[in-house]
Amino acid sequence: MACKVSFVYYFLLLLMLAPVPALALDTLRVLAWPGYADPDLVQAFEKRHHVRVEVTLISSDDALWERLSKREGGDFDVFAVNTAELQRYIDRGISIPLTPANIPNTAKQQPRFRDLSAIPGITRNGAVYAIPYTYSEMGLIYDRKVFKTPPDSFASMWDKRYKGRVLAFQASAHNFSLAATVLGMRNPFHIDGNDFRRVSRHLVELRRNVLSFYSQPEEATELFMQNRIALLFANYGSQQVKMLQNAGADIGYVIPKEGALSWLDCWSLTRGVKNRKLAEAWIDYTLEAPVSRALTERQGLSNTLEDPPTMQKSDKIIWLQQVEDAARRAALWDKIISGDLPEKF
Amino acid sequence: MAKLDSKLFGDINFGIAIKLGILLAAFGVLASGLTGYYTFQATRDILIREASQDLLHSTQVLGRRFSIMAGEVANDARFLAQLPRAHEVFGSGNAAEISRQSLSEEFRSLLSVHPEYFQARFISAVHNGIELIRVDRDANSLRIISDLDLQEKLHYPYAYETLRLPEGQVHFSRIVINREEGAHAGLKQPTLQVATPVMGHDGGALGVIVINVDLNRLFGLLKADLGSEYQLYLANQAGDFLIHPDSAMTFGFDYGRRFLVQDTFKPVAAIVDKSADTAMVRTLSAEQHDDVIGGFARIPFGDQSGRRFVIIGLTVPLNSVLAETDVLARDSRRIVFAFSVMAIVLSILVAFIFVRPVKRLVAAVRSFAETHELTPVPVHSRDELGLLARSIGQMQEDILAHLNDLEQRNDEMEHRAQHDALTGAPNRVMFHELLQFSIGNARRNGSQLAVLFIDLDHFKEVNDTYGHAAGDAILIEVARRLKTAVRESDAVARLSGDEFVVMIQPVDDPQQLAVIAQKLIKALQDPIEFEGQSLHISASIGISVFPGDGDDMEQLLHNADTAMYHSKRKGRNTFHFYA
Repeated sequence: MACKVSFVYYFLLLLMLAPVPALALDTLRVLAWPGYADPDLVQAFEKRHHVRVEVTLISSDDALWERLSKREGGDFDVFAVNTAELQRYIDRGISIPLTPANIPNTAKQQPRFRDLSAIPGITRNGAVYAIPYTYSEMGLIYDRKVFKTPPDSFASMWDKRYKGRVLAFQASAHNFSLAATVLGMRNPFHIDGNDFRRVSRHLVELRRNVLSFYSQPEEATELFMQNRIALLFANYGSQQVKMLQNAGADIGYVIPKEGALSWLDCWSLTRGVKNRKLAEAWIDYTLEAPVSRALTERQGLSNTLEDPPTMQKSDKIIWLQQVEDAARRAALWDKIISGDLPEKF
Repeated sequence: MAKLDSKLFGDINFGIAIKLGILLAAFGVLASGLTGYYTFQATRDILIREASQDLLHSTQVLGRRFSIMAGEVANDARFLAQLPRAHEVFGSGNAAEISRQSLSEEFRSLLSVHPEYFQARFISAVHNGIELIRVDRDANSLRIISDLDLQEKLHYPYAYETLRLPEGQVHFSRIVINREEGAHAGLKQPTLQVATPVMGHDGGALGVIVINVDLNRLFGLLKADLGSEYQLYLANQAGDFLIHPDSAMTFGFDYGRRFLVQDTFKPVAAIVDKSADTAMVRTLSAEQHDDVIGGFARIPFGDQSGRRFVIIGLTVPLNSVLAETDVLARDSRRIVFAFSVMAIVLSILVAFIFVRPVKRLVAAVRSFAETHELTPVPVHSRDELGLLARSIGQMQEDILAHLNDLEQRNDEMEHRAQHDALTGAPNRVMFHELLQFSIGNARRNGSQLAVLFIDLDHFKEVNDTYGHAAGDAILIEVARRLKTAVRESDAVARLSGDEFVVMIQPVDDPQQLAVIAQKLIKALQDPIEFEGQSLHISASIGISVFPGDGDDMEQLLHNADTAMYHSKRKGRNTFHFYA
């Protein structure tokens, strides 16, 4: 009997101790990439607004699409997406327009992020769909012992003097855009059908000049350190500069005159947003200096409030866009990387 | 009282038997249950440990076989690199062409005996690593690739790294999904490239021999000896799955995701960070039937430095390991059940063995209480119960002795209360009772009875003259003589001092009474010897007869007394009827 009583007692005690379901609190559902919403920063936001924030992390574009398209964005309020990827979310109606005026911290952003209409893909029919948050430009890393003056063009990667001492990135879309840029084409994201042969053969030339193509930044660092590399296409931007410097490489980083291709991740609202004000407050919060700086300090990513020291105001940034035919580029790239002779294109 | 007793005793022996039985049974069941459970658990743990150890051992054997197979591929590559024709394939002349064809045939025959080889090539050190010879496995046939279909491969590590190797050294590539178009059967398949340089006469590398190995096939061969319940895992140095029962989990890095062995099997992290060479794993999921145990081992291969390694693992569903324990569990349950039943039966038996002598003791005590007879207690054991039984027997004897003693004293007391201490004749109290009873009888029978009141003559003088002792002697002798003078059915009593009374019954003829009275007088006339003297005594007698002289006791006695005084007045030593 005493046993029964104590059971009941403990049960009641447990009930009392059990966390109260946060029904009373507003909940903000954030879908973001690792490092975009670190727990300590999220906690500060929760405290300030007396809300609960549920952060879901994804690590690939495909995962992002899977999460959002499943219930047409109904599971999340705000998400982080790059400008190229954003297009399909707008097409599908998952991303909805927002009001930059409700996000006062946008005023503190660098000019290149304030002129939203100048960034391809952020606006459509006059409506703003996203607020830039972080980006990474793909500049050129060079060995300072080889280059007395920094290379000023991506064309150096084709320079026969550096044959076997160049590292390029293993990606179809970027490499076609890069080659098109070097060939001086007007829009590297839209290669004319007749120009593909030219660009492809140019990429065969690149292949003949590189030591290899890398995929992971760690891999690139290892190859750089072991193979007397002179030039490295920095797909991961300043993050890679940091890694190489840590590994002891004497390198420089430059954004060549053609301009650096750059991905730009933005915050966007879903059409399932429950509390619009709260979602906007979240975006505003991430644009506060300590939060944005945390991105740079912790992740080595660039924030939109201040340019990284490696970048000049005059540096040209080419925001990535959807390419004209990703499948075609991929198919051609597979042949190029496989070693097909130029005659095959 | 007896009813209460039986209820009381009944409850007690029943209760003890039940309580003792339950206690012993519970203890027995608990003991066998716990023993069974812990034996089962311990055996299970031992089985799991041994199975893990076995798996680890199998994994290491598998690993060694993998290393050996990799070594055999390396030997094949070296064999091709050392063929003299390899030096003659350069250039566009007819001789070079013939050499290429002949070498291609060599490659083809190698592939035909090694179904696990996807491709064998000779790649030039110059011209951007153009393939000089290439034989591809394409479905069921082997194809010799030529001219424009040959590709430039210098940007691949297996080419540029191998060119830097000294003669006879072998390069093992990272295990990747082969995305090189033209590899046909090998396209998009997990592939290991094994390459070795072909040296020119001047000591410089002319090119490299590359053999692409079908990793799945290789491990298929390795796994062929294992039972179907085994699951094979292969991971690279970073822990990325390369072979996994669920192929969707493999080569995640190839499309921007990571599926790491150490995420699925935590202990393998120690191999990845190089702090351990082996790891035993066991998953713990909510559903035990999904759980597996397994062993993972670091398997160095390729270069002698041992820096290059893969992680090979084997797992087996816990259920298949524990299939044996199912039998064990069933047996354990049976044994526990049997022992429990035995414990219960034994408990009941023990309870009754214990309670039966107690019951006998109780019965003996009860029977003694009821009969006051010495009942032998039928417990002869030498234990405490026997002692108790013997003590109870002893106690019975003591009680019985006491009871007898008491009874004797009681009888004595009663005798004393009813008899005259000096003469032993009934006293007044007893005589009254006797008379009363006899009057009642006579009344019912319609018979007669008589009371003879006897008073000794001059007794006081005798007493005074010869002393009390003489008086007492006289009284004793008088009582004796009166008793002998009357019939058995008549009664003689001493009422007080020198007064005696005799009740005659039944009286058939009152005349007969006179005879009796005369006989009594005469009996008392004989001298009484006392300490050498002859004492003379006589008596006066008064007679009353029921119912004529009185209807009740008082009347009869009073009238007899009156008649006696009449005799006294008449000169004593005579008798007189009341009526």
